[in-house]
Amino acid sequence: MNRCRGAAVALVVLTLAAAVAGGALAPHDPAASIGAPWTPPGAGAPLGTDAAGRDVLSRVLAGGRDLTLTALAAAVVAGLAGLAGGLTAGWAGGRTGRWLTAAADLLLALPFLLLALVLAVALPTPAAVVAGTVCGGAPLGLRLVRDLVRQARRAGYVEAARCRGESTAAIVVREVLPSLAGLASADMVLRFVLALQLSAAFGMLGQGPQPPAPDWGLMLRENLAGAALNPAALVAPATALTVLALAAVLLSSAFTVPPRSRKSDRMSAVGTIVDTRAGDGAVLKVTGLTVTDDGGWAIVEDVFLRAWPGEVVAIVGPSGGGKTTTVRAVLDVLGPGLRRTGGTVAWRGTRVRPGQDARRWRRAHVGLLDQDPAGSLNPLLGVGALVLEGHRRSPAEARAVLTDLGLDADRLWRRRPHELSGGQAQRVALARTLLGDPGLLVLDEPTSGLDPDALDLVVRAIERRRGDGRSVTLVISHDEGFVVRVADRVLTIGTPDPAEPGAPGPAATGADRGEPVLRVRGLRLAQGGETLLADAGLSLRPGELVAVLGPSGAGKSTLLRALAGLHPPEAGELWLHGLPLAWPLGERPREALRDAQLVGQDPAGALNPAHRVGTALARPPQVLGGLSREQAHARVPGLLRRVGLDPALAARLPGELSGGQRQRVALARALAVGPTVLLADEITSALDDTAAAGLLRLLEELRGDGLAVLMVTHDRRVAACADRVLHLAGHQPSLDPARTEDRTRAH
Amino acid sequence: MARALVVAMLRALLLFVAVSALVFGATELLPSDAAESRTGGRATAEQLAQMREGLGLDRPAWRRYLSWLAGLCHGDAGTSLVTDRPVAAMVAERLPATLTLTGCALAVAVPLMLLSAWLVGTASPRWRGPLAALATGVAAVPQVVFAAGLVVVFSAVLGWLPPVSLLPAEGSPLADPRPLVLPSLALAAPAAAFGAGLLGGAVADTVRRPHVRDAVARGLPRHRVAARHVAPFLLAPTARVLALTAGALLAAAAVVEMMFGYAGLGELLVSSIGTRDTPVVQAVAVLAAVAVLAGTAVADALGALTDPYARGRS
Repeated sequence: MNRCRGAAVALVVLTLAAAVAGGALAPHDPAASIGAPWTPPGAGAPLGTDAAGRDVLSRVLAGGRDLTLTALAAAVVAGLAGLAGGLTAGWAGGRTGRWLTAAADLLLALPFLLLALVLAVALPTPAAVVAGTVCGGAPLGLRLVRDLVRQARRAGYVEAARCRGESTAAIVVREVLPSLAGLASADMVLRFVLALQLSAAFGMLGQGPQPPAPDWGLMLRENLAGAALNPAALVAPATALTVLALAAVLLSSAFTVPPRSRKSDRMSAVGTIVDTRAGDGAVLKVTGLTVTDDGGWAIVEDVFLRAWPGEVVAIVGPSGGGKTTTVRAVLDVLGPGLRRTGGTVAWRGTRVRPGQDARRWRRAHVGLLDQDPAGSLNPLLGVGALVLEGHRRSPAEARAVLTDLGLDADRLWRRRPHELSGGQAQRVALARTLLGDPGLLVLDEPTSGLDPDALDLVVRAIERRRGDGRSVTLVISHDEGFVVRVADRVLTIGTPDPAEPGAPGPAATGADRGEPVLRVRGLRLAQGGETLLADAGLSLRPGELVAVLGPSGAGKSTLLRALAGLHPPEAGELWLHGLPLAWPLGERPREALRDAQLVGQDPAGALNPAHRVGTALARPPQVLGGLSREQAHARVPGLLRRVGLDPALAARLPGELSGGQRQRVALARALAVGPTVLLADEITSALDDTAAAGLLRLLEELRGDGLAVLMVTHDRRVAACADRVLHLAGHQPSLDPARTEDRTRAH
Repeated sequence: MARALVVAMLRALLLFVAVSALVFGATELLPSDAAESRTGGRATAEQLAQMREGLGLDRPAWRRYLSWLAGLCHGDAGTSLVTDRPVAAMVAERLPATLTLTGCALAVAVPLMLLSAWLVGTASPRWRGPLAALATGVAAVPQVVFAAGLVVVFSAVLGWLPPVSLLPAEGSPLADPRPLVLPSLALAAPAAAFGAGLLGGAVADTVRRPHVRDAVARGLPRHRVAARHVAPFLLAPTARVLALTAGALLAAAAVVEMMFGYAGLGELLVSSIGTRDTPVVQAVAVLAAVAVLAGTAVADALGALTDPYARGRS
């Protein structure tokens, strides 16, 4: 990757040097006439002569200097202006950000060429080109940098820096600027393209170097009339300009190429399903289905699946094991980058071929309820249109289905999805799926996306279909309790993992471990004006693992961010080691910053892409532990070993690590300062099963040393390792102690 | 919805004031003023002062700006410093030629842009990168290069079209469309590539939305998915990109007209810049800016009309 970037830089530097210094190689005086006008290429002049009989080759060699230098200056000024504006707008936000953005939008609404031309009345040409590039280019840079800065502000590495109490300047210089360097440089290179266009246009308009001095832009206009006599006089400067512009575009794209992650990032295991029953009488027959990704790696292989009329078949397996991929491959609706490379699908004895054939089959016989059914509704259509679309059914039938699902069909008929509640939207999607009474019904993780009432309706529909002698229901789920409830037959995907993720149980824990290390009372949390939690309480003892479960949007992550000091709550009291602690980060003492460490859910954003692992791990002890650079770096190998990583990884960039390795590094960064409380936000959700199991085992070891862990999760198997589980019920903003599982009360 | 329309109008009005002030301010930077330009540096200081008083140049800049703005609103853009003719008449003479040229260019650019944007946006991941890079590359090539390239191919090699586009003194520019072809194509090609790059991203984002994927999964025919689930969401971005493209095209017309010797507004603008004829420069620039702002306002209004969440709010 770096080699490709280096080659592009070398190429551009060479091109620029040729454009600027090419005049030294000119065989003739570029301003002197050497023959008749527009002589075709010949012995004395390899590219012929121009309108005034001057040597075209000499003029092309010499004609790029002023133009290129002006464009370079303009690009630098515009790039820096955009960078400064973007940093300010993105970091300050609020009113400053809005005003800067409004000014940028104003300039973007006007053609920069026009602005430059107007300015050319009063300013000399190079200044007008610079001003035009700033007006036309800086706003683009401002927007890009602003968005990148906003993204970085929310990224795990910036939040980690804030949590260790670094100053704003240090965060901008150490964390934000390096992380956006690649994209911002790519953008600045594009400013050069803009400046080059302006510069060429100005030269052509006669605003550049005055004749007879050579200029590529002016050469184009001068020689236009002689195109038939000596085309080389036009082609040569045009080619020079094109090469320069394309070299810049190439450099820009070299800066945007993301670092390629290692092959070990790929799925470790290939999923497969072997349905052993004989295929007689099955309505759905899937034989030898194989799906590969872009790189030719198999995702699922040799899937055999049979379903008999009236049967409910469940496919279970770990997340990331290929359940959804399998079913999507059967339906021929694979996502981008995945391809079905083998196997057949047959429905009622007829082969369903991918393409048109499969599309007609889906329309006539298949109903699919997605993981997020409410999100699959077109926001521009009314309920009636949504339900009826694609079915050849009457509105009366649609109303009947809606009513059957407990919706007031007449009242909702014309409403659009955003005018429905979340539960209503889920039912509308369900009604659409059930309306055709599809021969094959596919439910993708119904327990994770649906609220309990909608889930009951789904179960009712499944019950109705069971044993009706014609329809088949496929359920994909990782929720074993649900599967046991509804399925006639359960198929497991994937090779069984020897290291069971649920292995570390709550065995060695239980007894009172002394005073709570963290205690919260009367916590009220809100986000965007909506109350998420009210009057919630919580305590955490040393060595304890408390899991927080709840539907998305219930405020699980917000709770952790509040405890970490990143999201001050509306009300509430907090004690750490029995001492009262302020909520905002800025008011917390250094020891408190050290004691509570947050690890986020997104391993990709947790580490600064520009910092090597060693740098990331050495920083917290320097800031919070008062260690010197050398001391901090000396502790890195030990930290890496502690989280089960090879110390040699310290020299790698995050882009060169796998997801599981990144998450372990993020954990190591949190452990580097010796915290007593770990706030873990879905730290296993982005990992494959083996990596998740390893991480949970590691947590178990750390708890043995007295580390208290508060862990947000949606995965019940992860929650099963916890000493206690807190439920954040959806839309009921309370940490309800009555619904607390296990033996200890939440308060 | 009505509120959104009013906001779009107000925004355009505010932008107009800002832009006209910008144009006026830029021409104010000139070291010499109209009185000096007219007398050509041969007058005494006394004569100059008299002339300034006569032209109202002794008033502060903001008063002159306001009276200039008031004049513009009445269609009076002052008189040219070079020809002494009313600027409005000079602009009116050139307007049809430029409108014809940009109209032809838009007629070529818009279908080309929409088609390439669709191709880029709906391409498979393997092809989207190269296609987008192609659009960026084409958009990066300076306009003048396109003009020169077209002349070399169609005029020098094939001999089909004249290399320069001198308009007939009398009659409509459409009477003989041949001189229009090369300038229109030179305008259209980079504009289409630029617009396709912008719009391609919007298309790619839309086809990846969950309701589109769901429509495909339900087995709806492609044309139905495109018309019902993708196209309505592209209306507002398309309108915005079109407004931007039309504005860029208008400005680029100055370059292309100069290059081909086509007597339109752009040529008037550039030659007036050469002679420091500020009233003409101001008038042409403001006219172009108004066209751009009107386009943006229409795009904003369209965006408000097709906003799925607008209905039900007042």
